[in-house]
Formats: sequence, structure tokens, C-alpha cells
Amino acid sequence: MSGTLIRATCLAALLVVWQVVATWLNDPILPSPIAVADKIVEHFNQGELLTHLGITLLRVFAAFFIAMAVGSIVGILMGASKTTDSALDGILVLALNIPALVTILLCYIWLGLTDVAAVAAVALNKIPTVTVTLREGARAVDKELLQVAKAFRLSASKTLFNVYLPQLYPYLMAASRNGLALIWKIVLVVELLGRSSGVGFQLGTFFQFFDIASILAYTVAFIVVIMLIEQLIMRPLDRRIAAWRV
Amino acid sequence: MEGLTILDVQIDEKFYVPESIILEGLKFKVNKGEIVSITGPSGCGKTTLLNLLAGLDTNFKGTVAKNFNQVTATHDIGMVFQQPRLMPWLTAIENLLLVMKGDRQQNLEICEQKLTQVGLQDARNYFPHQMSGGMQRRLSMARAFVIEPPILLLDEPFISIDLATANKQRKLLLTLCEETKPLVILVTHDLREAISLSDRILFMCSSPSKVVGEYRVQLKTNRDLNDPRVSDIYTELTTKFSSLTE
Repeated sequence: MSGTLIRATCLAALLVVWQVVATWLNDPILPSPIAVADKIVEHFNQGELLTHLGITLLRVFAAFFIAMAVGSIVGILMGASKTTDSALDGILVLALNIPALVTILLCYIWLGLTDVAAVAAVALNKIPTVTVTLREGARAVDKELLQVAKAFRLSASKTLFNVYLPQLYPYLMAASRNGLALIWKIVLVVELLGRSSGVGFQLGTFFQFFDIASILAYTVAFIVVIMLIEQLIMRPLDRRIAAWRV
Repeated sequence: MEGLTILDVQIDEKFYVPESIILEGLKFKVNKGEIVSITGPSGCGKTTLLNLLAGLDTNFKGTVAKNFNQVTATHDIGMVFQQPRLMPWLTAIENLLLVMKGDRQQNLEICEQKLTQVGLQDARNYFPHQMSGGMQRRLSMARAFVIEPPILLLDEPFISIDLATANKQRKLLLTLCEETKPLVILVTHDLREAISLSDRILFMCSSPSKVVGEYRVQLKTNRDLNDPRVSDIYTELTTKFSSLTE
């Protein structure tokens, strides 16, 4: 049996077990998969599912790009220069260990209950891990290839884009993968705590009404979107970058 | 133009740590179209010297003067390293295009020609890891010649490859030199190789190193490592410079 078939069978089996248990319990505390599917359709038809999904995704992307840009630049600088590394290492360790919740609360207190605060809080949580990954990458850069660039008098931009950055692509890819997974989880918490829109806010509302079917409906919808991003953006990118590797 | 000095080298002092001076009072001149081998005991600073000539290391006392037609040349030097040092994420043709300057369409034609000349036309779209060691070295040689440099620097380019491949590479080097007649500096520890390839051999002593001997090779045609005349000169030189040859 092929890997895809095994995976599909196991997922289908899980759904069947869930359906059987839910029917047997017959309790609103565990809605059946069919009930959840009904809810997805219902929320979709009302239009608010897509609106909140869209808002959450916007926040995810904003925080993602800010965290990747800032984290990469700081990480590369730290990996390339010992002085920068010593100067920022203490702060980095500190930042890595600040609980996500503390960053979120402080951002809301200092910047107000705004989208800027929300995105900043998520980005601040992610920047240190991106920095650590890219620092490793910058340390592993092949100096011999940089010598080639210098010997053949390549321009600074050609050296950067054709010799330096390609060596960092695997690290950038790893940072993006982990980044996306972490960021969308934190975004939901941020929305729950201080925004009046988005998937996190909706989940909070459903929690107050004990609407478990709706909670699961939003969760499933969100997971599908994230998996689509993985399939349509991350994997093709990965394949392109890996083409030259053994 | 014969007899015109292109490269005028005067290294007063070069060290990495002041306690151990690598090069001191080293000077030599090389004329247009000349092939000069530099040989000497291992660790005497041959690669260090080459890095100074290439401008990869500018931290030394002295001068490296290069006199060539600045108008027609896009590069001052081309370089072949001990290892091929190709960009693993670029295909054969892209590795050549990388070092070219100016119009891309025109460069593409020149690069295709050079690939054909070194027998890699069928490997045009291969990544380095898809090529054999010999092919990688030919590509590395093509990269140095494709920019038609007035000065060509080679750092033990035939080391750690099997004898048959090395012989083919040496022939290729001479063929490529015939066409553009660059000034060639070949660093090698193999005296037979130096005799068979070059017009002049410079001997360096242990560090602090300088040029302590010179030999003009009179074999203009049919250069071959197995030529009996090479052996004769080899015997003569090993007697004369017994302390410098291994």
C-alpha cells in the first residue's frame, strides 16, 4: 500500500471511531463529525467563518514576515561577526525565555488593544527562534565559496544573492516552517485576549456558550487552510531549493 | 608586446601572527604570456602568496602591480583552486554565467562555447553533484578562462585526482592557454609538473620565504610529463635545489 493510501485510511478510521463514540455517548460534550461538518457549512453560509479566517490569516502573515525579516537580519549579523554575537547573545537568551503570554500582555498594556500590539506581540515571540536558526546558518557559510566570489570580482549584490544567501536557504526554510506553525497558534491566543475579531476571538465566544461543535468547526477550517499553505507554498518552495542537493 | 612586464610582485613582509613571518623580501616579475610555476617545500606560504596576488588578502607590506589593458579586460585575474569550488546550487552553465559581466545574451554564447571547448556541452544543465570529479575540475577551469583574464592563478589544480585525469587536465590547461595567452602563475609541489607545463620555475624556501632560485625551461613543444627531457631536467634540478624539493 502506498503512503498516501495508508494515511487516508488511518484518518478515515479516526473519523469512524469518533462518529461511533459520539453516537454512543449521545452527549453535546462530544459532537459527531457529521454535526461538526454541518456547523462548518452553517458558519460558512453565514459568511462570518471566512471573514474571521481572513482576519486571522492577515495577522499571521504580518507577524510572520516581520519576524522572518528582523530575525534573519539579526541572526545573520550575529553569525557573521563575533562582536555582534557577544553583544546580543545575552539579550537573545533572555528573549528566548520570556513566556509568550507575558509578551502578549505587555504589548497590549503598552500599545493598547490594537492590531499593531497583536502583531507585534506575535512577531516578538517568534524573532528569537528565527535569529537562533539563521545564526547557525551564517556560521556554517562556506568561506571558500566567498573567496571565489571575491577572486572573480563579483559585485556585492551578486555575491549576496548568488553566493551567500543560497547557503542560508535551508535555514530560512526551517525557520519559516517552524515559524508558521508557532505563529498561528500564538495568534489565536492574542485574539482571544485582546481582539474582537478573528478565529481566536470566535473560539472564545463559543467557549462561553459551550458551543463545542462550533469550536471544532473553526478548528477544522483553520487546520485545512494551514495545510493548504503547507502544500501549495512550502512544499514547492522546498523542492525548488532542494533541487541542487544530493 | 613580448617581454612586457604584466605582474611585478614585491612582498616585503607577510605574517598572520608577528612571531611567525611567512613571506619576507619576496620579489619577482612575470611577462606577458609567460607560464610561471612556483614551487617549494610544503608550508612555505605558496597559497598565502597566491591569495596576495589574487587580492583575497590585502593585509601585507609590499606591492602587487598589475599592468594590463584596463579597457578591454573585465577582470584582472581568473583563479583555479585546489578544489573545484563550484556553486552547488547553480548548474554548469549558470556557474560560468555567474562570473561574467555585461550583456547576458552575449555572455550566454561565450559560456556555451567555453563549455563545448572543455567537453561539457552535454552537462550544461547538470548541478555540480551530478558531475564526476574530473568534470567539476574542467568546469572550474572553464570558469577561470571564460572571463579571458590577463592573469591566471592556479593553486595546485591537479592535486588529489588520479594520474590519467590529471594528465588530461594539464593538456586542457595548455590548450586553453594557447588561445588567450594569459600570464599564468601555477603553484605546485610537483616538480615534474612544473617542468612540463611552465616556461620558468621559481623556487621558494621555507618560511620566512622568498624566491631563492629560478630555472628557465627550454621545452617549447610537445610538453608531456613522461617526456625523457622532463626527467633529465628533474634530475638536474633536484640536485641543484636538493633542500627545496621533496
